[in-house]
Amino acid sequence: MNDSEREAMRMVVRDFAEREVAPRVREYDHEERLPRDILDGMARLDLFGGLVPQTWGGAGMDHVTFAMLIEEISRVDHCLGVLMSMPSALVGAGILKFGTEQQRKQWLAPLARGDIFGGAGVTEPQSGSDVAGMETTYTREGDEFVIRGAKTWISNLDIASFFVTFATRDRAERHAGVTAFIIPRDTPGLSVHPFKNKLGFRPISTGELVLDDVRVGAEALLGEEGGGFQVAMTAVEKGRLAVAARAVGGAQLCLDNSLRYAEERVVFGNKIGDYQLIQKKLADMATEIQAARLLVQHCARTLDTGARGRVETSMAKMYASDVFQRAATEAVQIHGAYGVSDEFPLARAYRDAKVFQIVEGTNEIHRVVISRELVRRAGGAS
Amino acid sequence: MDLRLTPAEQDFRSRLEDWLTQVEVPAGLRDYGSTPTREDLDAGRAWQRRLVEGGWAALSWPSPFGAGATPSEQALFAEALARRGLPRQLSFVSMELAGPIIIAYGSASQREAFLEPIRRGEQIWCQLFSEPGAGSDLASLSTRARAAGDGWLVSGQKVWTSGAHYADYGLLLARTEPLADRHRGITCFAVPMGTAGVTVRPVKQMDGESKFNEVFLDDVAVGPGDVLGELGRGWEVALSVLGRERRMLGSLAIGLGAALTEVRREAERRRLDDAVFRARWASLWGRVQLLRWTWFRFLSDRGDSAADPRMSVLKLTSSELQQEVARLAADILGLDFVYGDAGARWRRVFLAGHGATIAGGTSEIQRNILGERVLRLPR
Repeated sequence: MNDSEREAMRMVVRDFAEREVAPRVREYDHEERLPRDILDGMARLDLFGGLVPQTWGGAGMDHVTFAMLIEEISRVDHCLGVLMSMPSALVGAGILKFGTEQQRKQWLAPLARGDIFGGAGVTEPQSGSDVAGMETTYTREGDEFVIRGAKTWISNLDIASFFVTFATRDRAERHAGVTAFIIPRDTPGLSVHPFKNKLGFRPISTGELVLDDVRVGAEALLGEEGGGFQVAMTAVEKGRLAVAARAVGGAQLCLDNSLRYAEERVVFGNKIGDYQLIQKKLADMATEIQAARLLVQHCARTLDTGARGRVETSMAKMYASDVFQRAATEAVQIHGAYGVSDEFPLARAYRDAKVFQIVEGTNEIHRVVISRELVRRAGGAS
Repeated sequence: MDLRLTPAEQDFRSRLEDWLTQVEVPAGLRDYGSTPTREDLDAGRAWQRRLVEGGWAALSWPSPFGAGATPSEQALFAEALARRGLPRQLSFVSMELAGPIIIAYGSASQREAFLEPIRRGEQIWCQLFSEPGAGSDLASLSTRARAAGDGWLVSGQKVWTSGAHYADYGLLLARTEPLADRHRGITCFAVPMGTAGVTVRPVKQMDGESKFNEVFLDDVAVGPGDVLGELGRGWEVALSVLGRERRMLGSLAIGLGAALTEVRREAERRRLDDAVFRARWASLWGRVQLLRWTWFRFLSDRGDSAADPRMSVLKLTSSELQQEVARLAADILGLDFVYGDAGARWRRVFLAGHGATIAGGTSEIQRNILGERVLRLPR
């Protein structure tokens, strides 16, 4: 895809976000739900197709375009960016790579078209995101698998038609014991328990997925038995790229609002934008956002070459979310009391930005990943 | 400078500690900060009655109106209550702003009508200062009081008014001489919040609580007896109020120290023992200690320091430290910070903490005050 095609798509997303989404964000953030008609509107623009090949209902985008469009919608609401990324990353990527023809037809294609939504469950209350240490187990009974356990921090609990989730046949086997399953939402024994009043990301219904002797057949098996770890790892970098792009969009929202307000607000006879303390904030914010955006693009290009891009995605996720947090903090400050009021978008950005530093690997973990990998490479070179 | 306690202060402290170990704390009382929510009112009122009974109410007011405690005694009191997570009074605005202003500027009949009910927690005041177009730049306020008969009709809009939705009286700034210089022609009034024409609309804050309000004034009738101080000299009253607001902020150091200790315990529970955490923790601890000692230094200056621009140091440091402590807690708690009981308290500190660098003059304004009026840097 060339630059002018990308730019045209970006304008389509911007127009949709400003007209259809912006007037309603505050309301649905309070209600802690994503309006279905907005998702349907996104489906009509093919915004869920992302990286999924056109053969499977997707848009077949490159990573650069994918990240750019997610950033654009996040300038109004990054939670819609979560939904845009899922068919290409957390939910769909494993099905694309390891699914059978039938599974791709049944789940991936409607997912990429935006006809249905899915959820993915790796994290557990005890083991966190340590796949090898998971406590959800399964046993084989004839042709069936019986799964029991619980997952937490699972998204799309309200709208998902199915969940990609993981269980181990024997914890002693560590990674080799883990298997991936596709479980339809209406399967007996599956129940969801959303967390209400989270610090941020409120429109996304997130919470616990409980699997109480859930019985599924061989058609639910995603990949081979014991191949679950590979399935879980397929989408990690794509998911982090999307998180980083959303953070850049969120930070841009803070800058957009701050620039407007700096022009409007008059104190001591001058616009606040005329004061150097405010100018410093705006200049630093803009520079950091641009640096984060370039880091995201670099990361996307790396993934476009087919490389895994482990360090690049960690850098992009960590830096972009730190930049978002700083931008949100400064934007609230620039808006004064209006920034603290729930009636402006900055309070929401402030709550959400903090969450970005925590999810998809805390930024502390990413710093460890980056430095270990760099030290390893340096050692290898000597 | 001698920062050791005098025998009188040591005696004050031991009487206070004795009382605090014996007093029955009302059910449901929490450390709600300077302003209670509507839900906090019952417990807050009961607590104020206990303080009155114990002789600990209105410490900062001179006798015969209040206890006439010295600044050091006020500091000892503030620290002892912060250490236990108890509010120092029912409402900060009533006790520390309205009360002292009425003592300094009120007529005999105003003192009579307001001081004792405030002290007993039977009358709550709010501060009708900020407007949509006048926050940190308060002197640009545009609420007008038009002469009508022997009184005035007040019209305009106030915003970010803490506690207005349950307050009995408002300390109102309005322009009585619209053509005068911006600092002159402002008059301070005591307005009953039940007066016809006063409409209060609560504003939801980032942390989900509603302490703030918008207050609409539509031809609200006030008379000569409602004027606090002299006509056209309201700016003087306002400056005195703002200085008082800042002076007690140093007492936050104790609360911050306690919060830091909790952060450390949380890190220990999570077996999070690394150098990055230790360095951040130690640096914050050092700054909290500095805030405390700086506060003591201001208090030991005695005299009326309310209008001293150096007081901005306390406001700037305490508010920014509050945010940094909350950020450190967030980093320790990880996902527990986002949802669940373990992080609930810290989420509140984190969300309410941002207001601290904005309310009562933003950090940017405090830096300008320090730069221009204390350090005399070129403008």
